[in-house]
Amino acid sequence: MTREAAEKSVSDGSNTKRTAGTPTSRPGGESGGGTTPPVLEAVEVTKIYRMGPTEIRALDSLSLSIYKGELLTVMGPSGSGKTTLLNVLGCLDVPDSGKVLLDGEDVTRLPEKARTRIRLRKIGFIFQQFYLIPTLTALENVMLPMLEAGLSRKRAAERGRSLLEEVGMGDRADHRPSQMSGGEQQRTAIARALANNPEIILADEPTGELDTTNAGMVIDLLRRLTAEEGITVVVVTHDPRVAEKGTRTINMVDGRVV
Amino acid sequence: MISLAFRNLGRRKGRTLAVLVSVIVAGSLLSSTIGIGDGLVSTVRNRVESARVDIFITGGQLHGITRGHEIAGEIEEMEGVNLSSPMLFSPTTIQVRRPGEAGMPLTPYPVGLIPSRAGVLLPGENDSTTGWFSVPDDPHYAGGSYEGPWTYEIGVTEALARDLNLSIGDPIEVMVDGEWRNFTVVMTYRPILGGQAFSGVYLVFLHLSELQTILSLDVDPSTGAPRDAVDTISVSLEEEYRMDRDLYVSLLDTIREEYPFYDVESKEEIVGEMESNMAMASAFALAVGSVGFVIGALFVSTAMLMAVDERRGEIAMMRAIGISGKTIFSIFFLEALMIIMMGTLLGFGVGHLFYGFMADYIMRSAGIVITGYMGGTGMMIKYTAAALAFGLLSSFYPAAKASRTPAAATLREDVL
Ligand SMILES: Nc1ncnc2c1ncn2[C@@H]1O[C@H](COP(=O)(O)OP(=O)(O)O)[C@@H](O)[C@H]1O
Ligand SMILES: [Mg+2]
Repeated sequence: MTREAAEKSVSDGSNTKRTAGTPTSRPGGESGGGTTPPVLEAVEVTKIYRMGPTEIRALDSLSLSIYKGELLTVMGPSGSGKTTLLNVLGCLDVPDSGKVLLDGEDVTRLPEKARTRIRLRKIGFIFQQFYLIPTLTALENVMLPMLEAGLSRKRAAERGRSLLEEVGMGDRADHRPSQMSGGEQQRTAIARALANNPEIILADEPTGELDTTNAGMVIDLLRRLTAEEGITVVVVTHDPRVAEKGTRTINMVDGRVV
Repeated sequence: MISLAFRNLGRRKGRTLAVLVSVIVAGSLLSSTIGIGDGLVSTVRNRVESARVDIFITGGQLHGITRGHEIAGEIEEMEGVNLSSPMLFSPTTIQVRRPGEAGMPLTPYPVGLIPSRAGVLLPGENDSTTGWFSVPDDPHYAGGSYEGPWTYEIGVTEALARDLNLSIGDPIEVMVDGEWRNFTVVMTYRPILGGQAFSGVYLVFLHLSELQTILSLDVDPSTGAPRDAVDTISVSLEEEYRMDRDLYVSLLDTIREEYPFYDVESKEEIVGEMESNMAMASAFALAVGSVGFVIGALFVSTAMLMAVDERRGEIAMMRAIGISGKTIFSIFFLEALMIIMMGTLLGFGVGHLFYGFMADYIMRSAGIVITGYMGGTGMMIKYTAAALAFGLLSSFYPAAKASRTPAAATLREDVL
């Protein structure tokens, strides 16, 4: 894609403001006549890890539909396959069988390059340990995916600043990660996840290393994104207080939804 | 991205510095050896070419030609020969000092020549001489008896003149047969290196027969018969013979027949031979330099591999958020390349110093004054090519490894 096209697609995204569809609070899209297709759908997804003779079914014929504007929280004991599910949904990992449909398109058969591009443009990742680049400032960290998408430095900086503003980090744009608290780092990471106007944000225990206040701020921020911008968010969490802020919660055990 | 690579270098300052130093050392080794190699080849060629030597006779060993004056005279009688000049180069030093000054004398390397004949043979070097011998011939030789009068004339390099505080016309003492004898400075000479005076080199120039006596190469000590040992006889031809290939070759053949025990070579042969010798020497030097550079390159790749390993989590995160393998590759590639570029640039500067030392050593040991080829175009091209090749080789693998980091598995490891 050319730089102009890239810039255009990003700005197009921000212009529509994702207000088109009202956030669905109930799965299935059964409200009001027509059915909205899911943004993201896992169909009979199985992921097996082999460690010598033993086989671990990290995902076991799991099916799941996620709708636009949802804040889906995923709970379950450690080792139940939550991270694997996020990775498979986020084009980071391919299942051994089954399909993952993103906007109706099966992404499991796409080549790695195409999946990288999807991760860059359609998906925002947030990790438990923030994972900011320590040598870059908050703003530069947020700019990184935009520059990769072909935005000019100037536009990336402008948008980066407004995103930091949005997550309440406007005054810390020039700070390095080491100069920020955990909550601030995670909010920066959220700004980075929003950089290319993703449809979906996947967060793996985003509040796992934060205190209650900061955890609350982060989950409220994610919630606001779904409500105001129609972004679909999937949050893996152990914290029931986080889970109850979601529009829907699923529980996983042994690679299945229960 | 460039600033990212640059800042990443700042992360492990100690290691970056160590790598930088190793690249500097490697670069200086490589650049100085290339410089010396190229310098040797071109210097020798220029020297032979600019000197109006058409035929060159050597004895195959140190002071290997006997009857030097006589043979030179005989050759000069031949049809087509313009000048024939015997010369003596000594690898052993003689002793000189300021008149009457006790203490350590200086020990220059001496060159013996017949002034009237040497002048045309060394035209390229006349630019750097001031003054000349007043007695053109070699009277002390006296038909082989070595009983003729001494001229006591001496030419000295500027370094020696400076260190003994001498100028032209001043007296200087030379050790002859265990006694200090008074000579007069008639000439100063400035060996040139890269357009700069080559300081610290002590050379002296004497009438051939006087040097032969000083070095006991005049008569055979046991029989008393004339020995008249020299190292080379350079022959310059009349224009007609020089230009006509057939005349040239027939004269060459005549000299070969006449003196079958000596090596008689044409100018082309000398140039060719010297060049191949020098090319070998320079190839050897280059090999030494390259080894240094390979070690530097290994340093770089090791350090980069360490960096890739340390930053696995970060790389996996970047892959996860959609940064392409290509971008990751460039980040690490650039990082390594930056070190290499800085190092090779600085290495070139340090190499200049090495080059000076080596040139000085070669001057002292082989009597070859290497004129400045450090920084010549050919040398720059070779150095840049070598630096780039090693740079690319050493940065490619770590960068490729970084770009292939599997995102999901690495992130998982990092959490555990
Ligand atoms: N790369 C891997 N190699 C082997 N086993 C793995 C790998 N990734 C995950 N697993 C296994 O798959 C199961 C699910 O892991 P994970 O998705 O990380 O669970 P959760 O995030 O719910 O704790 C676990 O038993 C884990 O040990
Ligand atoms: Mg997990």
